[in-house]
Amino acid sequence: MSRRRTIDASYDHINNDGKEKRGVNKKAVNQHLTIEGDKERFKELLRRRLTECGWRDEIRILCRDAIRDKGVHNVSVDDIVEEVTPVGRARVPDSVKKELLQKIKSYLYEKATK
Amino acid sequence: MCDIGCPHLQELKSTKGVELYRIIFSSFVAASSSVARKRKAIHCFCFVCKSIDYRLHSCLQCVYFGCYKGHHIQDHAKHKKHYLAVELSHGNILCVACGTYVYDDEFLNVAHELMVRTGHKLGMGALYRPWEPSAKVLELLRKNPRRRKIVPGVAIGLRGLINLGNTCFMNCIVQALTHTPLLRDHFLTEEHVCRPEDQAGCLVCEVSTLFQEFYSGNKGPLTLHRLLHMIWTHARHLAGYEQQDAHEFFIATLDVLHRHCKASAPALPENENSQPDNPHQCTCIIDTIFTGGLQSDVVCQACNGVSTTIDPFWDISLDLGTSARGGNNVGDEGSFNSVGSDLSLSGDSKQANNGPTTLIDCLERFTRAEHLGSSAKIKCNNCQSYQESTKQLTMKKLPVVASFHLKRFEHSSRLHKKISTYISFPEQLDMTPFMSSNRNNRNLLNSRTSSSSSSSSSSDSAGDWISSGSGPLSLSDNRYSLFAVINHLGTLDAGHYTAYVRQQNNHWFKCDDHMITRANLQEVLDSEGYLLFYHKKLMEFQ
Amino acid sequence: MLSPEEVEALEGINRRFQELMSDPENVNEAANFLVDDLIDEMTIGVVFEVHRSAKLGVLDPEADMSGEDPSKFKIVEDPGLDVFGQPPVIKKFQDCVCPSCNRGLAASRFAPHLEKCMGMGRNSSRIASRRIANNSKETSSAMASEDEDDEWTIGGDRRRKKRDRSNGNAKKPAKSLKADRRNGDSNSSFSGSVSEGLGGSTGNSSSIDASSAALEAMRPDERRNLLGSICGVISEHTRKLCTRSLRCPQHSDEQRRTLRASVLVDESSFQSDIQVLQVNVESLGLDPDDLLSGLSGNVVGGLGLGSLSRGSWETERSNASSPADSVSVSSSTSSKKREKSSPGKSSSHKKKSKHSSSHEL
Repeated sequence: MSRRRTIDASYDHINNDGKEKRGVNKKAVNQHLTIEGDKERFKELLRRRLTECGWRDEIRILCRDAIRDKGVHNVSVDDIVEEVTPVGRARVPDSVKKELLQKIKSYLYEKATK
Repeated sequence: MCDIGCPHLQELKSTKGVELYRIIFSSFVAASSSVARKRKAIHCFCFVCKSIDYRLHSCLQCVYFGCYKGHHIQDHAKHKKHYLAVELSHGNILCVACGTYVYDDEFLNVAHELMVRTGHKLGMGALYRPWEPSAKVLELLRKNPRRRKIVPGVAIGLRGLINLGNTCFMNCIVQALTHTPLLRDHFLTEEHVCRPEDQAGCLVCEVSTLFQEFYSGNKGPLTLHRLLHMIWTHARHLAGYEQQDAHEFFIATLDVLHRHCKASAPALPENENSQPDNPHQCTCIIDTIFTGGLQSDVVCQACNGVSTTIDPFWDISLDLGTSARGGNNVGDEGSFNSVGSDLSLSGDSKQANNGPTTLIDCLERFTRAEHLGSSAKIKCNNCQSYQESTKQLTMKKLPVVASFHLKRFEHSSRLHKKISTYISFPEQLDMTPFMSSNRNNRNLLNSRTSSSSSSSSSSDSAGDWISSGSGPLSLSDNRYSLFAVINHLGTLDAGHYTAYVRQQNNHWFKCDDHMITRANLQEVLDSEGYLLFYHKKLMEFQ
Repeated sequence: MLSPEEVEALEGINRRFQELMSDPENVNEAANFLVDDLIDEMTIGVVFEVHRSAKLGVLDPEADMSGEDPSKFKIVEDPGLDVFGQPPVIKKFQDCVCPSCNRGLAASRFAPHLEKCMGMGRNSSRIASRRIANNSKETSSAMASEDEDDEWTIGGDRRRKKRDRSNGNAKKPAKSLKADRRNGDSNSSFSGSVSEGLGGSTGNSSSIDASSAALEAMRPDERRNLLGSICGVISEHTRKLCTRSLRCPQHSDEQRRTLRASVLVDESSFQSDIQVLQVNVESLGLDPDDLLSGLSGNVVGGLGLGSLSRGSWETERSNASSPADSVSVSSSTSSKKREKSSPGKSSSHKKKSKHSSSHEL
């Protein structure tokens, strides 16, 4: 246990701004979700909500427009992703975000107390 | 213009086939087994910067994970000349040499197959697949470039219907059916093929024509004389000029459509299991949309043995309660009801006196356990004797379209009147509390809490969460939204039917025979309500 | 299974997770970033879909939405008019053609006309009862119900039309039996007075001059038309053509074939005609058994306890086959309305068997 702590601590030297730590945290959470299979379920839940509220269709139209502007042969996935991602985040309805947040939080609490 | 993969992908396919892709996909993209998921969690991170994000790629030609943002996978590709990589969120293939993602049918099929498998394993049903037109459809679409778009504020989909002499009941049912989204989609897209000699008498052909008329954009009202003739022909018990009941007409119409759909369906291969008459196996559009399963549980009070039957249904007829009728209830039905509610196990004495005032109330009464009384003992197979019992109805399977019939008309020998009590109904309806699974769970929980204390949780959360329909991760969805309401105005003997239909989201219209006018949701919800039509919000793929 | 290193790594992950989640601030942060992450992943998923469609060349159909001018269909919001801009009163006469008798008539009068045309409603049953009384020597009730097949012939031949009208009443016997069972039922009334213009008691065979002489007097196509819709076998005692349906049980196909061979120029068409018309009649769903089974269906459906009466203690699927049967399984009370609908319910069950099995002669 102490050995691990020293190893982890040694990383802190490298990135003091805590970004590294956040990255480690992110990873741990992601990993755990993957193990349980619940990441897929959250994805499916989100997919359903976003389809229902029309978000998916909106984003599709944006992507189509991006492709049309740049031309089918020239456009790359990166181009479209760059253009569409910020809009994607903004266009998610608050209710959907709230629901997902709340569900994830209660899930995490539940798992943490096991 | 069709890009099919790229030369690099083709070369890989010809030398190594799709096996490697399959392995990578099933291990790291759509890990379906518990072990696979654990491995994925442990091993999938960028070999250079250790990060995990949704744009992590796996090299298709060796064991290497590299992230996209940090260019680590691109570096690896150029360095090792392994130009092909799989991104681990969706399984798409990147060709670094070509600088783009490339698509090949064979790989796509493998991906689809594995996704479906994972979906099933996690108890999620088939995962959503976007619509892809077939070659034939594409051809048709190219040849016919004209498009008609239904935007808000457009009258397409609405038509008036002439009253042929007290036929408002038929007009209303037709309005409801033509605005049933799934039914409309089926008729506007499916090609119903009838032999020419059958067409004259085929109701499905007639309804098909009707849908075409409704969406043609024409404005004049239609006459449903052929439809009336056909229904009266095939449902003789309905025929007759006197005022008819819209609910009966609805059931008869579904029945005839169902029969005609079956009649013109291609012959199924004969096997020992197929029973031509078995409606449980019918796959016609009517059964797909309207048929649900009603579970009836009779519990013997002596031995607690449960006997379960499941009956198919097209709609639910809801009693409006004895007190709604008012006065003495010495008539046959009245007394039965009041005895039942007095002895009911729900223990909610308030309901027994006041009667239902909302649709939810009606559904609660419908699905509550009823004590059948000492005069109605049932033979219990377990006890081998006649015992008192309770009976409970729940929804085993809900249809895509849930139709509710409020029993406002009394036809017993004593009572002959209309119950006009206002029953309020919601625009959004969640049927979860009335499902059989709910009842089963309640019973399970009741028996469990008495035996063990720990809640149901295991490391493999897959089965429990989903099948029990509870918990934050439940993906079971029983939400319905209102799309049509049929109202009856007037008395039992002299009345008139009108309908409210939803043409588009939040756009409601009142259909009074040939007069179609705009209505608002509040108007609809304030109306009396006789037949209520709800459509499932989420369609699950098989 | 997992290697020892993997197992250890797994435990490490778990431990770290537990540590992190014990701090609520971490939970919040984790939830937030997860949501953002998932949204981004969704977004790129859509991007991939569209990109793939574009590369595969299937994006075109959606893209081009140049279509008709939507303002053509704009909804009119005028309070006095409907959504199409039309006033409430129908200006012109809406006409329609009766599918049964091919006559044109005003739409608002169609339903009462159809009722009479199809031989139902209050006025028609008196005629039918009279007919039973007159025909009782020659026919039995079972045969009377089979007469109903006669009227569903194709085409608008006037002779057949007239026959339709009077034969239509042949249905009445079985129907009025049904009516008796359904007391207090406001929707169907089959008692009634005389209807206008319907023929006399021997309407069946007299409306067609059905002797072989008359047959010869017809033009070949008239003959074929006639023999395409009726049995046609010449009965020994009346010397007239049998006007029952092509599947009339009194005569065999053999007899029918022989008749046609002798009378028609082209006899080979008989067989195929039989097929076609059989299908037609079947697809109309008419079944002589129908009405009789409807009676028995009444009994089953009418019992008060709904599904209980069907011995619901068995756990296998119940006998209610058609959803139409189970319409009012809702409550344990019986309502007369349910009884009323059951003939239709059970008959639909029976009709299904019709489609699969061949007609027994």
